[in-house]
Amino acid sequence: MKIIIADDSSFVRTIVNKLISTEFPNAQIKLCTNGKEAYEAYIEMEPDWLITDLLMPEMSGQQLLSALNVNGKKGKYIVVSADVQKGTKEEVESYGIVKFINKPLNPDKLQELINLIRGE
Amino acid sequence: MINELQKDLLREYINVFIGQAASMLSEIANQRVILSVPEVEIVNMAEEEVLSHNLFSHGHIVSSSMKFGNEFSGRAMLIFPAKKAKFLVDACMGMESEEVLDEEFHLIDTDFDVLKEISNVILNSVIGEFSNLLDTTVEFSIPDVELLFVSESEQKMYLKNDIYMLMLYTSFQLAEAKIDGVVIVALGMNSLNKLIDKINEILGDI
Repeated sequence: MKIIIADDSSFVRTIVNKLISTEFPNAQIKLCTNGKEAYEAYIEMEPDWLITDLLMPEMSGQQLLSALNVNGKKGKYIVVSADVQKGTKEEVESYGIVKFINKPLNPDKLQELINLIRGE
Repeated sequence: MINELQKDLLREYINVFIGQAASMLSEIANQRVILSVPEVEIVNMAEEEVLSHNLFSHGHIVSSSMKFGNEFSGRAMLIFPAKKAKFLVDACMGMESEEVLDEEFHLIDTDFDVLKEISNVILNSVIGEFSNLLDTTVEFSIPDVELLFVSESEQKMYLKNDIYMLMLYTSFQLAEAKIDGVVIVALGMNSLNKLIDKINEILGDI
């Protein structure tokens, strides 16, 4: 399984990476610090899952999802963001995301993330 | 600028927004967070008003700020005394805090990264709910976290570019350390008027 984790916070990348590596030891994980890196990695890897923040430098999560959409990519995306605005949620849901998870990531939300990847 | 009834309703909303932010902070720090009832003031920085108390603690501070824009625009800031900010980082990382002498105090990249994420969550929560209240969607800038030394007389200069300030004074109390933080929302005249119009609309419906 191939997974991209895009977040400009190394704190968040570390938590999510550690958890996924433990739960899915054979997963190939690519860590990205912004949307642009994630976009390039996506084109190269064609991952099974993209877990992305929204507020990132260079290219935001919204721009990343929009660019993937324009390119006809229909992947499985999970958004993990601190943004609580209804308008933002509606916008990213229009890109066909699997789930919008609000930060901060607590044990329940991390478990939800794992369950989604497991297909539960 | 606003009457007592408007201020009361504004305080009520801010209470809820800050309460949600505190709940998020509690999740990050894995500790109970107790908040004081926020004090709300609208300050015109162009006038030499006497403020009821200092804008924020002077000395070494950690200031995180995020710009937000669209129909409702301004700048949101979260300010902590620097040493307290370090306590908060340690709590979030599940580490024991140690007393450090002033001359030895410093923050490393990881500290700034955690503080950036904390301010991202807290300021998004407060401003995002204002935006929901006003039926709009704002865009945020990446939080800018700085360690600064601000003297008492420099406080106003630090904020001089912003005309109207919606000041939200809050005191975050974690289980181990009393952390006095302040959330400041700086608004231009148009955005402040939008907020007051919404408050009036809600008061009219009551």
